[in-house]
Amino acid sequence: MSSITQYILNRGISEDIFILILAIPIIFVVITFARRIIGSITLGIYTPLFLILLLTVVGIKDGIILFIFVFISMFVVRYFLKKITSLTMTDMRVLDAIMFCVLAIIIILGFLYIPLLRDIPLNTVTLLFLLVMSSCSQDLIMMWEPRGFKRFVSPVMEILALVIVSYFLINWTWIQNIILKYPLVIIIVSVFVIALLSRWRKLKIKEYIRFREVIKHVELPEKK
Amino acid sequence: MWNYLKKSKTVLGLNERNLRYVKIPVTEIGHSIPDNKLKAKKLLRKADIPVPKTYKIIRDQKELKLCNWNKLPNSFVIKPNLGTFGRGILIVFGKKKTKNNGEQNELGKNWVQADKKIITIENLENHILKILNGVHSYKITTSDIAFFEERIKIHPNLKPYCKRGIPDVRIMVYNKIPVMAEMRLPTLESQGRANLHQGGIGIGIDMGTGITTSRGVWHKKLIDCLPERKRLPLAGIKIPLWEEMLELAVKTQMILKIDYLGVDIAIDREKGLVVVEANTRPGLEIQIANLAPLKTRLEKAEGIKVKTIKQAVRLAQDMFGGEIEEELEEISGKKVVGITEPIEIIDKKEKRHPFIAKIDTGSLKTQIQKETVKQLKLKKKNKEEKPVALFSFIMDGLFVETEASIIDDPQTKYEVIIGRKDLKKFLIDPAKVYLKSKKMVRKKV
Repeated sequence: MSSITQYILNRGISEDIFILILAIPIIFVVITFARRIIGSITLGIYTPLFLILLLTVVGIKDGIILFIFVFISMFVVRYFLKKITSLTMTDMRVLDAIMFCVLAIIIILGFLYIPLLRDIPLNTVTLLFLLVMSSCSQDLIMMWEPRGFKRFVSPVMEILALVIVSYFLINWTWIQNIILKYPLVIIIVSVFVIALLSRWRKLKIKEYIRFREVIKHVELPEKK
Repeated sequence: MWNYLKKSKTVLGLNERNLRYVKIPVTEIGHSIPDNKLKAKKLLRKADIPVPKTYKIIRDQKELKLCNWNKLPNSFVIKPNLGTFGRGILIVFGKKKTKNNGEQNELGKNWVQADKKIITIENLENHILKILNGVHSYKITTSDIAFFEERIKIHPNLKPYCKRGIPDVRIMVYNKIPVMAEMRLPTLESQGRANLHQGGIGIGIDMGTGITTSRGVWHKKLIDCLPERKRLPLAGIKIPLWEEMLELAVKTQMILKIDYLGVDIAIDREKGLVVVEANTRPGLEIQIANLAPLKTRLEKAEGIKVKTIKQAVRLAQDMFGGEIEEELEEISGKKVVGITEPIEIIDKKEKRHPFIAKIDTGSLKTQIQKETVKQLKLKKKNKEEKPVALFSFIMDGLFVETEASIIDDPQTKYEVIIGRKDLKKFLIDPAKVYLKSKKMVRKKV
């Protein structure tokens, strides 16, 4: 354990919180990698960050169940509300408020009657998680809903994969030991890697697939 | 695999586009333009560039409440000022006719959409409210402005290709040179909008001729025929007013002062060419539609100093045209040449001498000027008491051995005239103008 870590822990900050705080730069690296190199949809930087941090508190199994439950509920609620209110609703914010109320009822009913959800403790952290999830799914629906449920599933899965990978990364004992041993190195290396990734100019992995027909048709100049 | 990765280096991706090409304009006027349709329109109108007429602008809910719907024309388009991907664009095709006493058709209060769906005033209010709330703007949280715009009327030549809506041509201009273009066809799914994200079809265009190349892209997949009319092929559509269109795209870039720009131009039945939109971050699907990488073209256009608009268009046609020709050559196995063509005469010492030759199908034999034979010291022979020169030349990459009649006509512009006998491996396209090779153009520029 480094002297900085020792000093901070002695000041009364718990080890878990210290690891969680220093895991943030690592999560940023993962998100930047997903955006720049893979070409995933991440809905900005902060939404996945909140989701990952809350997932570590809620737990992976409960987190994933809630994740899928909220996304499906949100899609269904919005689909029906849009049909009903398209002619009468004049303000989108009112529509959003109604949507959240209906979603809240569905979540309460879900916690009461769905066996999978019944085991999850309903506390402040879970509620916060649900709130972030609702906001995240709202953004996703805005972007992808007009293209149908099938196309909507793919970005949701991408975000879920990103959240799960980051969760396992920051809960890896080896990473946690490094955070405790070299906290400053973690910050400096993360900033350096993020700066490097932000200058990445090559095609994203998804673009190699997207432009495969173009690449096939490219004729390279012959060497003389 | 290694070759695939090597080839992929020529394709432009989002990372490189944003880092290298999308730059914030330096000028104060330019800075406010990106993504602001109304400001761009205002600037273009000032510079006498044809843009669709703006009927009405609605900035807030108060203005919406005071809107006099009866004053609106029968057909129009509603757009969000900060919209992207064609989101929030509503095309209204006309007023719904109502039957009075079962005899006369009168214009009613309601309008009709592309899919013949009826739109009421309430629907329009609702749609505009969504725009004002920023639902369709590129940043969901920002409030926006809605505006009513003139609906462009389709050009008769393009009518068979779209049931509803207006096709437009997106021309990518970089460093004042048009580098790539695609025609965007609206479909019923896209509700009259030509945007690819909304279900429109993108078809690659040969920069030289303005004719659509073999395939189109629809929902990120390549298609050969129109999805709604399966017998209608997408290849071979001649875009009317092609050169004027390229000129307009260059002019638009010069006025907006944005280095990397996608200019959307439509052809109005009455007005002619109209700049519909200018995009600072145009989509990259244009590469799939053209089956050609954009990066190599952008690199070719970089650093070239363009003095006039005509020169920019000529450069674009020369550097990036010829796809149709290549296809034809592939099918027929013959090279396509124009009425004049650059050739290289090979002398006895295997030295190559460049000339511009005239292609003349009226004469059987190739002819060469006496002075040229002397200068190049070509082998001569007397055949049937007439002097002939024996030499070989390279035209469009093909090696031809000939026996040319020697002529002495100082008034003739060309040193060599190629006759039918030596044109067996070629097809002649009279429309193909001799364009200087890339190296020569660069030197001249």
